[in-house]
Amino acid sequence: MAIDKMKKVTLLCPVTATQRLMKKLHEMSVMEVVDVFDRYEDAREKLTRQEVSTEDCDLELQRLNLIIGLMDLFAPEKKSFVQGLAPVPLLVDPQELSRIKTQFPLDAQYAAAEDMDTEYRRIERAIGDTENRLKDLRPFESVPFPVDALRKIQSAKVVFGSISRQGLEALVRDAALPALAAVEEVVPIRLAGDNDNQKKSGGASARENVWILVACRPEVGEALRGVLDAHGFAEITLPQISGTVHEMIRSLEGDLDELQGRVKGIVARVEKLVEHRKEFLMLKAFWEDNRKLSLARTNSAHARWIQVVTGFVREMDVPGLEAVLKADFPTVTACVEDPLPEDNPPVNISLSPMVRPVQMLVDLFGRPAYNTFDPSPFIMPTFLLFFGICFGDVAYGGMLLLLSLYIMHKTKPYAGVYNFARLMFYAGITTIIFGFLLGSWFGDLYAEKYLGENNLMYRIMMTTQVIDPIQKPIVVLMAALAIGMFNQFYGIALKMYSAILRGNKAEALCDGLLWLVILPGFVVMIAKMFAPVPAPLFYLGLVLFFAGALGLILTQGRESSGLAGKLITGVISLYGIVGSYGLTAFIGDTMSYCRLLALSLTTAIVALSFNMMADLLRPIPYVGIFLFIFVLIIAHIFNFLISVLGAFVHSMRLIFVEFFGRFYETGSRSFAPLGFDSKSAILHRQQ
Amino acid sequence: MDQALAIEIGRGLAIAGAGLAVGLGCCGSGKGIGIASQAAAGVISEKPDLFGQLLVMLALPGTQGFYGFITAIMIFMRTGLINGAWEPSASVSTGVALLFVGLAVGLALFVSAVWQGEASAAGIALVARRKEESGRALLFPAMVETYAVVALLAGILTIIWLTSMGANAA
Repeated sequence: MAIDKMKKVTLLCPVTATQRLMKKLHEMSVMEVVDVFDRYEDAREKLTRQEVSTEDCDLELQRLNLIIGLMDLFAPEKKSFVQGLAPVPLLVDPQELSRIKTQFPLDAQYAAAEDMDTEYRRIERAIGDTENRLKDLRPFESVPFPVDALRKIQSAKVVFGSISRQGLEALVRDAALPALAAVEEVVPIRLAGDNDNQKKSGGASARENVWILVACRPEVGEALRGVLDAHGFAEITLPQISGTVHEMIRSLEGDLDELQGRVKGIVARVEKLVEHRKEFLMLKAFWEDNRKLSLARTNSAHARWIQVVTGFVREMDVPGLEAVLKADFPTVTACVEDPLPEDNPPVNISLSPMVRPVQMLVDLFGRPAYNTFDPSPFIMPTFLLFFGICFGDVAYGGMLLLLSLYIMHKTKPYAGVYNFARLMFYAGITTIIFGFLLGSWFGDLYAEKYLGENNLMYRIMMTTQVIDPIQKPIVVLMAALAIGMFNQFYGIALKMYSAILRGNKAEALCDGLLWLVILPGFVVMIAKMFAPVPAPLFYLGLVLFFAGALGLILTQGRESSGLAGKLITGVISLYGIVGSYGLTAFIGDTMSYCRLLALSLTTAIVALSFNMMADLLRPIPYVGIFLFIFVLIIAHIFNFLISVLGAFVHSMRLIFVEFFGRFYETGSRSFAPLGFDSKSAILHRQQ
Repeated sequence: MDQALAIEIGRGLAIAGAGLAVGLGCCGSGKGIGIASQAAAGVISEKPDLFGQLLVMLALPGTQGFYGFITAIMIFMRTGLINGAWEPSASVSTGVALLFVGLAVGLALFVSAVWQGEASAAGIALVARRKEESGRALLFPAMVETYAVVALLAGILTIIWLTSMGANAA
């Protein structure tokens, strides 16, 4: 139950056996392959990096992406809100995958999908063109004459355009209008549902524009242009079509309907593809994995006859690997060594199923350094304690238990979601415990005014309640700060443990034990300022404080130069600017635990406020009791969701900031053995 | 001043404080969630699978509204608006003090909610690029919320002390 010991393993195999060896390593999934040249710098001159082509994988992935993209476009997978919240990868059974690889007619399906894709793109272009033409024609839909008729007139120049009604009236009266010119208003045809026609017709106001046709002999064209410009005439170029614009629009709309119908046909064909969605996704996962296997080979290097593959293997897997190599690859030589600190070994953590859910929290922060220890078992009780206090309510705890059991039942193969649900299951238990202690059952739903006098919930609450945080917040605040103080001591003790593991006893003594001496003394001295402290305890506190302070002054500056420098650094370290910790950091970190009270009050007060609001509806005749129950259900589900979020985030924060800050060293990377690796799927053998 | 009038003025000021606390808290939460939502919408349009992780960060600035609500409920409870009568010793000075408690808590909640929204948006941008950093990204807005929690706690304790002190004096 700790960080697994790693071994550096280097395999020397005949070049001809490399592919088979890599496949075996992939199948065993025990070795993380690393770059040969990163490990053996001097090998660059003698070895050549393995060149690998991923062309076949890329081609298959391209084909599958086209099919999956088409399905996602026309028939996306329907997901519930919960599935959207926590998407889970596809489970791939190796036997099923093997069957699909050999039997599934991907080529035929791809050919069909490619046809659909090509046809869809063609239709999409045609729809775009048609819509653009319609957009151009719409403004002239009510032009009443065939527009090609104007182009056919040879003997006169005819101009179509718009002018304000006021301008038209002035133009008609204008003496400068050439004699060989004629102006006529164009009355738009009435279109169904087109109110604008009214405005363009004679009833329009003087400022609004009307369409006009102006005809003249070609020789007076220039003179006419000047007159028209003077009255604000704007020429309009009509589209080059045959017949009326209205007829053309009807025709194009018909085309558009036909194109939309063809798209529906494609959708129906894609829906048939969807029946094989799982097969496509499994094949995609297979080719993604294959591609990564190929790329893993680029980490190896070769000479003329020998291929070098190197990486990390967990110490416990080394005998198994050696046995397989001996049996299947007798020509392969394995060199097994202990990793050096500069090798930056990856970290793999093995935990008992009981503690495993908490590893998720550690991973959120970052894996521990290889030469330290895994904090998961140590943070489990503190996280659950904090969560329980923040969320403390018997009924909410019960809801959390049931919900997490349901999710655990549904998501057993998905380690991430399952472990999270399991963590919430444990958190549900502590929530119930603190609910009993703090006397919270859906807030104060046990109150006489809601459930009647001396109801069962009330009787249980009265038996189990230790303190009411709303009535006695100061006591609970003191308890929260005491928890914070002890958690700081716990963190310092873990720092000492970490230092001892690394063989650094001086650090354990100077940066750990001395703080454990000074801080209790400091707490006693502070307590004396607020409450009576027995004299022997106070003197003991004084002794501890000054002994610890002396020790810290003498040791915290041990890396500074000169006696004065060492002493000055030691004195300043008490404050906390330099050194491993400080009195101010201790006060700040401990005060941060007051959030335990605040969040506990939040859960309880919001719950009791909802109870009060629901109760306001109860006097309504006939339906009051139903409204009361309905509002209670909705309101408490809401409070459950916001409070569980707050309890999780703040418990996590107390662990990450105030607790991990004392001892935890992160910065390593996770062990990633060569094995099935896909972004969207995980291997899962059917039972 | 007439005792009944003093009680009414005191109660009115206290309730105004409750209104400020809940009003400012809710305004801040609305703005904070709005800021985070704008960032999340852009990410989800490209990566819908991140919805679950981003929803938590979207929801975080919403808690200040509830902290304001709790402050208001505490004032209502302790001034007898909900249960029973205004404490017998209630005075204009207690009402003024509660008004400023509500105002101060409300302001702290408003500002912290807006900044928490900004921190959430930054965290969302981080998760969009590096999904595996969602835990650390969640920590940024959680750090900002610390001060909303401190304000809430200070507010609750002050309300309890103010109203108890008045009763004791009586």
